[in-house]
Amino acid sequence: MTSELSPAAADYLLAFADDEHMIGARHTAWIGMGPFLEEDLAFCSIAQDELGHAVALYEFLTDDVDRFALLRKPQEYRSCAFAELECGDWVDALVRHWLYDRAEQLRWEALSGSANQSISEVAVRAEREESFHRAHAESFMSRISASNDTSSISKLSEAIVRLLPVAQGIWQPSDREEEAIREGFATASSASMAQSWNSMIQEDLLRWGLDIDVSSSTGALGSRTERSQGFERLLASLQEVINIDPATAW
Amino acid sequence: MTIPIDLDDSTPAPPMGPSPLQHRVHKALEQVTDPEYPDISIVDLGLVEQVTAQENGQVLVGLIPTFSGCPALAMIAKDVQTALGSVPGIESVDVRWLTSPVWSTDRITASAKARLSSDYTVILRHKDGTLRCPVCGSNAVADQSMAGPTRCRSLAWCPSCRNPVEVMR
Repeated sequence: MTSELSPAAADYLLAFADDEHMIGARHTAWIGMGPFLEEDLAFCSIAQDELGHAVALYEFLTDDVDRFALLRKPQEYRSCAFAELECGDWVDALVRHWLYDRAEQLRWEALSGSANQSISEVAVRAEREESFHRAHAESFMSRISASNDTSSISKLSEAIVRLLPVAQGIWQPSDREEEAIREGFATASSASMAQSWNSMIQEDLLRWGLDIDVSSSTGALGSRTERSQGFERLLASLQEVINIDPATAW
Repeated sequence: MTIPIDLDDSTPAPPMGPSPLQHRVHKALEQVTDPEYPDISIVDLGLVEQVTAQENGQVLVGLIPTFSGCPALAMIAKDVQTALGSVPGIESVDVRWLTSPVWSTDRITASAKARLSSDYTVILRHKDGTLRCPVCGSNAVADQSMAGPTRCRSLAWCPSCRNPVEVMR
């Protein structure tokens, strides 16, 4: 279902699609590795949603989603370093999931008002699915914060402070974002969404009683054209199966 | 001619009635089951949104997914192709996953709900939020985990008969 997209709109979707693909792929690392069974299942379901969203977005860009998703050169991906990041510790994965899904909410909202009806419908459905992700993040962040276990709380706080600057990279706009907004394809700039996101996560932190000042966190936006450390290894692992026979219908 | 599939069992048939081909397509679709529930049809689960059968035998089937990331989508689309492939009068079948409307459990027919409960111990939440145990009938079923074995089901547990229960969502 490739539809007629302007180059600016296609760039805009590619950045979001690659973010969704990479975060989904990273979340799947917790299948069988979560701290307990239900958490394994939760990360599976969340990963499944993000990969489903990536597919829905890639379908606007290509007729061959598998090849496009998996067999591009590293420099052709447009994901941000935050989505690509390998989280070796579950608390990092949890914090990243919370920060990312808050941003994702704003990104789908910005597309749900799109002049392009197809992307608007995809956005409405995706945003509805995201409410489960936010409920999941909320349940753990609030419970850990409210516990009497000071070492867990400090570990959580430390992860938030460390990951906040990297998370700012979500708001690195695609090259022609302004054009995509002028065309009515997207309805909010990355800069304005970044502001809303800062307030949202500051409110979350206040509600959980975590004393972290979001405005004091300074992170560079980073680049969407350069891949982060570890990306090639991630891509190689994603390609393992399709490379057995790239021409077959999987 | 486009006729939306009746999702509600009680809705009377449209006065004009479907064309013979449309009728055969619908009958064939009723035989396509969900890979997760091998005795429940995709029509009863509310996945079929649109069926268009033209005089020349070109058929368009518009489906909606329960969730964007459902891994069964390709399998269901293929099963629809196969089922319609043997229907007389069909020249070509176009199966599409539609982006709208958004699926919800409200689209499941009453008979499919009953079978989900009796055959799979999979239940739906009542409007008042309660869950009725498919095994012993108790209304005290308690949510256990919002994540279940698949994206479309969560886990619950009946303290009365001590059986695990899954909830469609």
